[in-house]
Amino acid sequence: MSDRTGVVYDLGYKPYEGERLGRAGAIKAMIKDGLRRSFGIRRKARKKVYPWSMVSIALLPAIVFVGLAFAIGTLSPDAESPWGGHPQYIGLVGTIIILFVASAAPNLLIPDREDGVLAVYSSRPMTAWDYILGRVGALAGVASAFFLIGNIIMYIGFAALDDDGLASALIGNLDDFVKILLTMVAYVVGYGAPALLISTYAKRVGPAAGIYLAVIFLSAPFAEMFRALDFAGSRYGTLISLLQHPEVVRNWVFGESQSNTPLIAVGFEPWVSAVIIGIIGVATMYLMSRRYRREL
Amino acid sequence: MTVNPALVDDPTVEVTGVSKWFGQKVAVSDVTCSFGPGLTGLLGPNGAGKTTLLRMLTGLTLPSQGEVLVKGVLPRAKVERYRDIGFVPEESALYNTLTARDYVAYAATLTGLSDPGAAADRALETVELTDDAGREVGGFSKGMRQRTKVAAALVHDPEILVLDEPLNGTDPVQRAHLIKLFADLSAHGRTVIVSSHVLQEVERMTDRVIAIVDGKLAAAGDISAIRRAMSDIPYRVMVECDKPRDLAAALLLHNDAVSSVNITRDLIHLETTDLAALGTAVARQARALDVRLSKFAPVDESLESVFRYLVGGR
Repeated sequence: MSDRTGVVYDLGYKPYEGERLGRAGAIKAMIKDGLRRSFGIRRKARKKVYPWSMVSIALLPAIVFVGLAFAIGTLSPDAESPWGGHPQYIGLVGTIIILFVASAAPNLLIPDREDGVLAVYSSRPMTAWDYILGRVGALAGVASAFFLIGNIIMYIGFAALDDDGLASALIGNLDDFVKILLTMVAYVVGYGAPALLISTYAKRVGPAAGIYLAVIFLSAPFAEMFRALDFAGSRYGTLISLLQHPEVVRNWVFGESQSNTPLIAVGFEPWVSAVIIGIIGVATMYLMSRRYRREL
Repeated sequence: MTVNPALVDDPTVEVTGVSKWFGQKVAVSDVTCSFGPGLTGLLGPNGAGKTTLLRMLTGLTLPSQGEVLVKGVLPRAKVERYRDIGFVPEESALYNTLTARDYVAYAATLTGLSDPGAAADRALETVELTDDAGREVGGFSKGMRQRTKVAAALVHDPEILVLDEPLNGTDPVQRAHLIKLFADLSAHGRTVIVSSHVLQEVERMTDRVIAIVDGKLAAAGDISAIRRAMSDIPYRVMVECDKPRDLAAALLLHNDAVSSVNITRDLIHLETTDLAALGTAVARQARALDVRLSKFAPVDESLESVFRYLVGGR
C-alpha cells in the first residue's frame, strides 16, 4: 500500500493586515486616477488618441517657436523672432486647453454619478470635499500640464539661445516664469471651472462638452455685441466673455496690448478679469460642494 | 435577554424608528431593527425599500426620521467609520475601462491601504477572479462584475459588510462560492447583511432574516418561523384540463384542502392551504375520472405575492 498523504487548503477569506493611511492618500489616488483617465494611461489605444493628439498639437508651436528663434539667431544674431514668445504661445495653447478640458471634465464627473460609482466613494472614509478636491485636482493637473510643458520647453529653449548662457538666463528670466505661473492660474481656473460646473449638473458627457464649448466660444461674440450696443449698462455685458478673461489677464501680466478686447475697450481695467475668474472659481467650488454633499 | 426578534443582543448596526421619504413617496416607514456579528438576510420584493434601508445603514442616504448607528456613531458624522464598512451597491458602480485588479486596488487606495496591489490580489483570489484580474471590467459577465464589486467591498477587511443583491447574475457555482464566503465571514465574527428578493438564496445563507414590505418591517427573526407563517396563507392554483367541471366537483367532494373553486372555460382556479395535498388530489382524481391534465401551476407563489399576503393578513 502506498503511503500517500493529502491536504485541503483553506481558500476562504484572508484579511488585510497592512498599514492604513489617511484621507490624503485617497485624494492623491483620485488625482492619479483622473490624470490616467484624462490621458488614457493604462487604457486601450483608442482612448489615448484624442488626449495625445491634443498634447502633440499643444507642444508643436513651442518647438516651432524655439526652432525659429534658433534659426533667426543663427542667421541674424540681432534680429527678434517675429513669431513671438510666451504670450503668443499661450494664446495658441489656450484653445487646446479649452478643447481638452471640454472632454476631460465631463469624463471625470459624469460617469461617477450616472453609473452609480459615487457609492464607491461615499462608502469609503472620505468626505464630499475629498471627492471634489480629487476631481478638481485632476482637472487642474491636466490643464496645468498642457499649459506648462510647452512653456517650459520655450523657457529652457530661449535660455539656451541666450548670449549669457543657459544657467544665467534661466535665473535672469525668472520673472518670465513667475508670469507664466500667474497666467497659468488664470487659464486653468478661467477655462477649467466652467467645465466642472457644467459637468456637475449635466447628465451626459457629450452634451456637457457641447454646452461648455458653446458657452465659452459664443461668449466672445456676445461680448462684442454688448460693446456695439449703446444703452445704459450695456458695457457690463462685455464681462460675459469667458473666452477673453484669461487672455486679458495674460496681456496684463505680460504687458501686451489689450486694445482689441471688448471689456477693455469699454473702459474696464484688466484686474476686473482676474476678479471675475476668481469669482467663477469660488462659485464653482461652492456649487459643487452643494451638489456633492447631497450625493456623497 | 432580547425578546424582539428584530433586535440582537450585541448590535454593530442599530436602526431606530427610521423612515425615509422621497417627496410624497414613503420608501421606508418606521423601521426598528439591529444587526450583529453573523449573517442576516434582508428580504423583500422589488421596490420594498431594501436598497433604501441598506443605503441608510451605510450612511449613503440620510434618514428623514430616526437614527442609524454603526458601532455607536452616525456613519457620516465620522467618516473613519467607513474603514469598518464594506458595501456592495445594487447598481453597476464599476469603471468599465479599468481592469478588475486596477479597480479593486483603487478601492483599496481610497480606503487608505498602504499596499493596495497586494490587498487587491488577495480580495480577487477570495472571489475567484485571479485569472481574469487583468481584464477590463467592461468585458465581464454580470456575475463577474458582481464578484468584482464584492472584492472591492472586501479589500480593506471590513468588520461590517453590507451587500445589496450580491448574487444577481451569478451562475450556480459562483453563487454557491459566494454564499460560502459570506458564511465564512460571518463565522469569523463579521456582521454580514445581505439583501435579496429570492427567498431560496437567503434560506441557503442564514436563519435570521429581516423582511421589508412596502417600506415597513413585515417579519423578522428565524426564517423557518416566517416560512410557516407564509404557508398559513392560501395558495392560488390554476389547473388546465379537458373536463374542468368534473375535476372541480371531484376535488370539492374529496379534498378538504380546497377552500374555493372558480371555473372559466377549461381552467379551474383553486385556493388551498396545502399545496402538496392538492397536487396529490388533483393527480388522483384526474386518473380516476380519465381527465387529461395539461397544466397545474400555482399563480401566486412569487415572494412578492407571499409578502403581500403576509402584510395584508395582519
